[in-house]
Amino acid sequence: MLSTWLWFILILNTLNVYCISQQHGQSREGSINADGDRTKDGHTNNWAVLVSSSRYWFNYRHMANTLAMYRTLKRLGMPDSNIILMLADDVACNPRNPFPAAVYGNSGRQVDLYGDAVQVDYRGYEVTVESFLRLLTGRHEPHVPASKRLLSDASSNVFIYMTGHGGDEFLKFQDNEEISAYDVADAIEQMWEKRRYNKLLFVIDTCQATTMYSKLYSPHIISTGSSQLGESSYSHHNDYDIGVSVIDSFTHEVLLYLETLGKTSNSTMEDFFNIYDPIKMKSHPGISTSLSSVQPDQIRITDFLGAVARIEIMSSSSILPPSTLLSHSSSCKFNTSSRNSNTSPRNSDTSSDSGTSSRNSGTTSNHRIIPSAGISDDQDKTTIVAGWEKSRKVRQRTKSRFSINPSDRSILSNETYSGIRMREKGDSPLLMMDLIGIGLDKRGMMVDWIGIGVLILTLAALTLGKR
Amino acid sequence: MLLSSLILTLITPTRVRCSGHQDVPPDAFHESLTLHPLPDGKLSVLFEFTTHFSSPFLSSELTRSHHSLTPPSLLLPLGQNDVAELTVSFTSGQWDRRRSGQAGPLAYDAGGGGGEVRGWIKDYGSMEELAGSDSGRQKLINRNDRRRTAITHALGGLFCAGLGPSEEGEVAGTFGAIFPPHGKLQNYTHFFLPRPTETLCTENLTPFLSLLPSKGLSGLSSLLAQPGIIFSWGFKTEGIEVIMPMDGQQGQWRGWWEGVVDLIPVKGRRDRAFSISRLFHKTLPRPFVEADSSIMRLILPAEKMSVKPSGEVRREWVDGQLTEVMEWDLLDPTITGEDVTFTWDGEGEFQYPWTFHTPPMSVSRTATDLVAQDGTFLIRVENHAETERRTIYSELWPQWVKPWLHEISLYAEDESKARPDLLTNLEYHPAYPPRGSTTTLHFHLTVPAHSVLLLRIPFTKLTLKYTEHRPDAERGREIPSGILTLLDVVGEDASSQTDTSSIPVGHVDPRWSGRKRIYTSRLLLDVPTPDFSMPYNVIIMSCTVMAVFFGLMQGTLTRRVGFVEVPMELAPSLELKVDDTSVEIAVEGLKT
Repeated sequence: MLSTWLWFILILNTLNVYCISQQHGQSREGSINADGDRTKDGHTNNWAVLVSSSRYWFNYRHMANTLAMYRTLKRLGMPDSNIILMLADDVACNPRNPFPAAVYGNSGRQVDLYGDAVQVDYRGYEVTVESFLRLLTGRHEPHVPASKRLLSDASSNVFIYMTGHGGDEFLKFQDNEEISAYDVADAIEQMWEKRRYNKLLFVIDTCQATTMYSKLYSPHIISTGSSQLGESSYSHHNDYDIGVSVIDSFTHEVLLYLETLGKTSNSTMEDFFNIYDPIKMKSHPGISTSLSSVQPDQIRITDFLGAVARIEIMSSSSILPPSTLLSHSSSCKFNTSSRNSNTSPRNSDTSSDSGTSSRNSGTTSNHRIIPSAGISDDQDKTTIVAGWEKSRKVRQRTKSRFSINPSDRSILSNETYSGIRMREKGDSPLLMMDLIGIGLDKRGMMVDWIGIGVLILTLAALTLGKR
Repeated sequence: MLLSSLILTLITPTRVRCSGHQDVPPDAFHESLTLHPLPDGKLSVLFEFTTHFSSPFLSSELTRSHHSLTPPSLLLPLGQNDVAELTVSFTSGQWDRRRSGQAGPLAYDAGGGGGEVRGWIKDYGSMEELAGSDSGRQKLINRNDRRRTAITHALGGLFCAGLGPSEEGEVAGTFGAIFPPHGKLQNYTHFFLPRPTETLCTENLTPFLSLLPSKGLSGLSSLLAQPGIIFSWGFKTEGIEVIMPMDGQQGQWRGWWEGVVDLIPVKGRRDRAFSISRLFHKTLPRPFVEADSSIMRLILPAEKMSVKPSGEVRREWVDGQLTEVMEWDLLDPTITGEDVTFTWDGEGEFQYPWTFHTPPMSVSRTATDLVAQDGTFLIRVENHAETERRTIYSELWPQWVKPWLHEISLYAEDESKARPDLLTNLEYHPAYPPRGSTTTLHFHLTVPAHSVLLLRIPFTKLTLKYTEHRPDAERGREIPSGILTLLDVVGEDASSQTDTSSIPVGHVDPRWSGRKRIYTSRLLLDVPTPDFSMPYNVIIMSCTVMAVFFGLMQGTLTRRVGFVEVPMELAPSLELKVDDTSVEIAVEGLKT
């Protein structure tokens, strides 16, 4: 009789764990909306790592490539605090530069890429293979300032752009050392294990570029490179006043396209890849989506290169009454995902207003408040709380993810860093749980542990009972 | 209930603010722009932004900090690491002391070249109650090291530069006498970290401007926020000096930016006439609303100058010379949007002078006997003043520069004989390679009037490990500037207490100067670099030898030579001549 009961409990527990793992699987896949929107991406913030790995003046174009990408990211709304810019040499204030403190990416010199407010996070000798891998994996000395850290989390979309001189499965750093495709693949796998990204876009402009992402094996990565194995990538054109090539062909063509996009663009990665023209780019660019769970036509360019996120307000039944809101606001569910405005025309006014107001609230994203389509069939139940409440809750959510406000990254103390590290360390047992398919969210986690405990006890009792 | 709570909410902050205002003096912001024409047709342009602030914790009864004009991103790391005073400077380009007639820039705290971080930090290691046991003391010293490292790295992140040490132990602690604190500090220790490889560019200007309350948008900072213009100038220096509030005293942080612009263009006109709009492509800006003072100053040169519109002229000691200074109050609304023009009377074409006035005191350093391994530093200290000067000359080298102390010699140039009597003291703190450490040397020198002293320090360069070389190893490596500290200056402020009316303009008295330290420029030393292809050659050669050797050995051990009987049906495939019955051939390694 006892053993029958114990078997019953065992079966129940197994079911419980299975259900939670199913829930978890959904949460890692991101919020799926019933409004028929194409993007099934669940990120709340964006990060970018831009690397120019070449030293010396004649590699001016690599600095220009990276700075042009930096400028585009800032134009598309990504805050400087979320962009880690690595420049292996200082061409802007190089004595050979006839235009001091300016870097140009075209021979007409229309746009100064260096601008008035550039923030270079790693420069000169600091740009090494080691520092790049440490940046990706988050393994830093305790004293490294927050501005030199990639503080991304499981809901960050990360964009990695690299340029320099490379070859079959390697990229040179500083003309001195090399990073191999295996190093990059392992670093990105560690990122995935440490929940440092939700989706990742890897773009590389170098000779034989596609070989650099050929060894990647982590999920949710879209990669693209400028040239195939055995093929060189070429510069685009020279400026005769500067005296060197100013930009590479692949990046030039990509930027020409990106210049046409705005913050609210609906263009997908497929549109981005469709501009690839081997004749214009002077090489055959490669695209790899085999690791991605989302096809390129299902994800927007601004999901990686922008920082515009949307907040969806659930129906009123899922929101607690205002009196309890202050003390229990975390129980309100927010589905934040990268959306751009105009997807829901009836709320476009609201969204643009809230977008501008929350831009000053210190969060990483411009949050647009658009009622979830999940409640669109019952609009009367939709509750849009006041702007202050929204931004407050957004902050809370951001904090629960980040533990810090990213805009204050430079003022963090070491204690805060150790706090972050503790969180990362705390993640490692969860990863084990993840392998056996157990949920990760806080509430679920507690149930899991109880479930596991009961499971072990049951098994022990069964074993003892048999004796 | 709701109403009463509302009233409470409204009233409470007001009360706090009132109580805060009673004790705490308000924050104040002052900005100034100083133009200093130099005799070689150049102009030194100095921006200074000074903020006086009280402890942010005093202005509120709440346990959080309030900042009005001071940036929390600067003060919080300092507060958390118990830093009392701090100076960060970046210098790029070389100050020409012979042609400018000045021993250094007007920003007296600017370093000699590259980046520099120094300051006073709380010393837990020297506290008696904490330093009872040896192990406890060691822990505390390590803690001090960690905090020094933390603060230098934090500021490096703030200024977009790698200012932190590459290894712990590179932060020097023996420069306390060279950079004495402004206030009275107990249980504080000095730290000094020069980073001679650092440059100064837009990414360092961006954070500098963001620290200012005016953010480069209004006031004088709007003239500065033009990287394309100011970085085209020759010599440039930027820096901050923070003195934290202590014992009820207000704190102060001062930011400076100085550049030297050539007034004679490469093409076109040949006179030195300039104006604000010609320098900055802008007219005088609208004053920053929170500024308590906003002043433009012109240090009038010896030649006659006409300035329109002219300002108020006063006499001041500037770097040990009594000069006339013209001042404009930029808070005066009538001058906003105006352009001030400066012309030298009767100057058609600027003639470069044949000779220049030398500064009363100067120092330079060269490395002679340049061979790959050894060299000699030749330090030249010149005193052109009427009085004897007491000085300390300090050097700080990385661990791979090793001096030969017994061969150090001191000469007077005109007497061409050794003068060991002028070297009154020598402090030597050796490095302990290969760990991260520095060698510091302090020479206490007495420099007689009208004399030139030559200090020779022979040194050798230790061989660096392969991994310690820079990517551009053949370029060489910079070593930090030497520092000549003047012990007898009384400062420029002392001049206000003396009557200067009887002293003629142009009179030189080197003691009345704010310049307490004169820097040499940084020095690029060749390092003995291995031929980096050699390791590869060795590796490839070794591999070949090993492969041949082991191949032969393996062959000898595993191969068997003998006769193998091959059946008839296999024989044709071997393409051998066979006879009727069978063949017996010697086949190496053939498996059947």
